Amino acid sequence: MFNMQSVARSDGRGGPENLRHMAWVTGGCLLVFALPFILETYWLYLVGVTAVYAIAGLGLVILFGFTGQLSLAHASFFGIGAYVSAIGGVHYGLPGIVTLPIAFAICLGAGAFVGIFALRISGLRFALITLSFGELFYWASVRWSDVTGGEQGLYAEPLSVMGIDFGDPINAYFLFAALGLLATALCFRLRDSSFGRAMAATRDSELAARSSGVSVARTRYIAFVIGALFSGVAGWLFSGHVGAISPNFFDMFASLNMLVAVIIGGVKTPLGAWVGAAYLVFVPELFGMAGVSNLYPILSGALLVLIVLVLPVGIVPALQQALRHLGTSRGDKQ
Amino acid sequence: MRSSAFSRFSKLISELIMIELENVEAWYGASQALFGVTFRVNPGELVALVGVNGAGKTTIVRVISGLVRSSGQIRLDGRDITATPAYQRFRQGDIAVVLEGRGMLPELTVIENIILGLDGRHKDRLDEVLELFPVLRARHSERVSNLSGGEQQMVALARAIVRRPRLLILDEPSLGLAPLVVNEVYATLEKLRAQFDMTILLIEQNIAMSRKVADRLYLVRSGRIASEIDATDVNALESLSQSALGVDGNH
Repeated sequence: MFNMQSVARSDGRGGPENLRHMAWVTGGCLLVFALPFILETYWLYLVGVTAVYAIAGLGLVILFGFTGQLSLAHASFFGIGAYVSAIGGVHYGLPGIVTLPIAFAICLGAGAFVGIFALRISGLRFALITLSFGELFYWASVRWSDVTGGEQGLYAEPLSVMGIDFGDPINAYFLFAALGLLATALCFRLRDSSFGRAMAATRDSELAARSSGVSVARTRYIAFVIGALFSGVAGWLFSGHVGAISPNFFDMFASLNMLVAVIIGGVKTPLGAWVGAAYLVFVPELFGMAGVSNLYPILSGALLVLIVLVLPVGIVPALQQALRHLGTSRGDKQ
Repeated sequence: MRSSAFSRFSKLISELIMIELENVEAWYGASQALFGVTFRVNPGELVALVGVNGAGKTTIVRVISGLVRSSGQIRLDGRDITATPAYQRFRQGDIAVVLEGRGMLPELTVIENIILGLDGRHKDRLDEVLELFPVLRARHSERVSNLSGGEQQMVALARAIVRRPRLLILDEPSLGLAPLVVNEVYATLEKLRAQFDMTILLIEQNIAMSRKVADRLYLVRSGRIASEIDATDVNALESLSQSALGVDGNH
């Protein structure tokens, strides 16, 4: 009997590659535990921010990379999570353990509402719908100043869950690393599930999807809601970690930055979200360290053009391809 | 009493027909592609729709699949499925289609392409299907884009039959394949028919190949069913090949 569990991919994502994967995972875990002993507090804080953006990016990987659906409101869902956490803590004194399910529920509702449009339209027209939602969210976060703090924004309480203070950078780092890894594992699991195949079919051939019994509209809808939830949870983590939020973090440019980041990293692979997040967080920081922050917008644009031209599939898939070729050529020599 | 006898008679008649299109018309936007198409396929039959490019053969497949706006009636096993959404027609497992161009998902593996949209409880059928296609079993974990055109056609066939459909529709399975591979595809088709007792609707331009396997042929011309020919009627087939398609029936 053909064992479905043995269904494996020869592109480095399973089967005989499992041992190598185990080695990578073990190495990654060791690195996660080693980093607090290696890095200074500020860099650890930045790694935490990277994990947060990676979780949001994973939502985009699911929506855009796996399903082929473009969203220009991803930062708005990030904003919903962030504002719920900040408003709940500052105005109502709610602990993080309470604001998390609220943020989750609101993102679910908002995602379910905006996603309704995905049932009927797709591509650029759907992207325009999400853009409208994003603009509406930005407008509300500026105008509803009694609650959101308007353009000045809000200070947010550091996260505290079950007596553990995540204002402490090391605690926060471990929380974000754990959640980031969990979200990544979920994303991989989703990709390799029957729903993952339905998403791929929706992206690559609607005709093949429909003729295989896949509801294209429903697949797009669910993917959109899942993407919104990833972003919302990331936003909830963000406000507690960064300590202050304002509408600029969640406007259209923030959505575009997230999109650009995952495209640079590799939009079809969960690992691309991490590389993209690292690009978002560390590249501006490195420009600042070099004392040329003002050059960042120009040079980062040039860098983006360069990456898109040289590595059109993104950094992670390009590295994976290079490693595979290296392995093949070694095998040939032996 | 009389109406009950009539309904029993209707039921009996419907059981003798697997799929029936009655006065079907279809449109792409404002442009009409099918004009009053009427034909039927009986259970266990292999019926070929033949015609030149642009005659409307693929549109008929799309109408049966629910992928194109249409009017008229489509009955499957006596049930009117005209208003049933596309994905539901396939999910129920009554129909499976091998699309023109094969509909491969290049980033998925062979197995992932085959089990696309398949219910978890039916995955035991995979073994049976892979028995039919040893080459696919051997290359099951490779990306489907690494396979040749003929092997991809096998994947498309495997994806369709793993659902054990009552009606299998094949849209130009020989398109773009070398003659030897086409023979292989047709040999597989006959094996499938014998093994699974499937009803098959074959869309083809290649009359010489279709007449070898089909019980009946319909000529599609300008969005209409122009004629129906019995596959054993050699004279009619010759005349069909030469007059309707402008080719020798043996080629």
